[in-house]
Amino acid sequence: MSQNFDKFVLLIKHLHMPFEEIYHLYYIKIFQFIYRISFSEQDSEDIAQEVFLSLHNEIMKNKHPLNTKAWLYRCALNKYININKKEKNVHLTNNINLYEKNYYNTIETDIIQNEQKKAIATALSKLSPKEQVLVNLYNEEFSYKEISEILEIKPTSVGKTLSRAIEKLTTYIKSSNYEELCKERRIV
Amino acid sequence: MKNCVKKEELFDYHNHSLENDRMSEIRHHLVNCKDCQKKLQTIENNISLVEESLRSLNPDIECIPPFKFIDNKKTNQKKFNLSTILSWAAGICLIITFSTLMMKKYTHNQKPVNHYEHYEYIPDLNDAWKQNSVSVTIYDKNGLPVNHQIIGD
Repeated sequence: MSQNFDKFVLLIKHLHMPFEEIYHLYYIKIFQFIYRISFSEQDSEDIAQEVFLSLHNEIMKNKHPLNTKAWLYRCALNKYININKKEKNVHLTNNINLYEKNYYNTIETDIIQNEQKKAIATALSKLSPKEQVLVNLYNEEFSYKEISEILEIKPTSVGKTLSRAIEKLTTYIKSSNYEELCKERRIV
Repeated sequence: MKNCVKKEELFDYHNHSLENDRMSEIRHHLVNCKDCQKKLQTIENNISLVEESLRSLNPDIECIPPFKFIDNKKTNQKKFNLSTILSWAAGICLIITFSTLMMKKYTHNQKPVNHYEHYEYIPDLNDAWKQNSVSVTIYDKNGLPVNHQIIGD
């Protein structure tokens, strides 16, 4: 009950929130969400910008979406699908380039971190695109109803497919050397 | 144990997405059933592993880039490229030619039936049969020959 009330309060707050605040609140989340599907920083940045541009246009037309968070994620997903259709990329996860230099880390931790990321990315890429998105949306703390609205599927089927996807993903992650890499990273 | 809860339902129970009655039923069942307790524990572990691994995938963003506002009018202007302009021009040309043709036909039909500008005269059909040819002379209103043609050999 209290969770529902919190969501309701958040919804009312969003309706009166200026655009800049929404942008600062959700930009990173949208960017990361698209990055976890596409594994391309450039694409994620472009899509995030386009999403907020369309939100800006909607607000200018006095058509403020009721559930701003869900609207943003749905818009981002649609834009990602459109880009994929244009470029005819079936799976962008095939072109994984996750190397990221962190200046505070040593070379060893950098390498281990990178290997970890690759292990997760390959595990994710083994799931179907729908399952990938479902797991990512669940990770963003969306309710079943919101997920069903974003993906346009039945709310009753969300739980089943989600539980199966998570089970699959954990087996894929465990079968890779992810946990060993975690231990190594702690030692380093 | 009898009436054990399915994995999917335990997953829903973990997410508080079941109806209140079913939630309380499962809660009571979990107190006594060790198998279901184990199942729930593995589900929770799986979820935490997935959450942790997805979190580690996130790239580091130092600062949020400024919002790039693009004016709607400019974006609309971009849509008019060369091919669309050419197709529009071709369409307009087609409409103009078609309409002028229709107008001509319409004005032609407006003329009175007896208003002849030229008269055709075929002199002798027997002669034409013998010679395998027909000579046609066209006269204007005043009776002056305008054109003379021989059709056939």
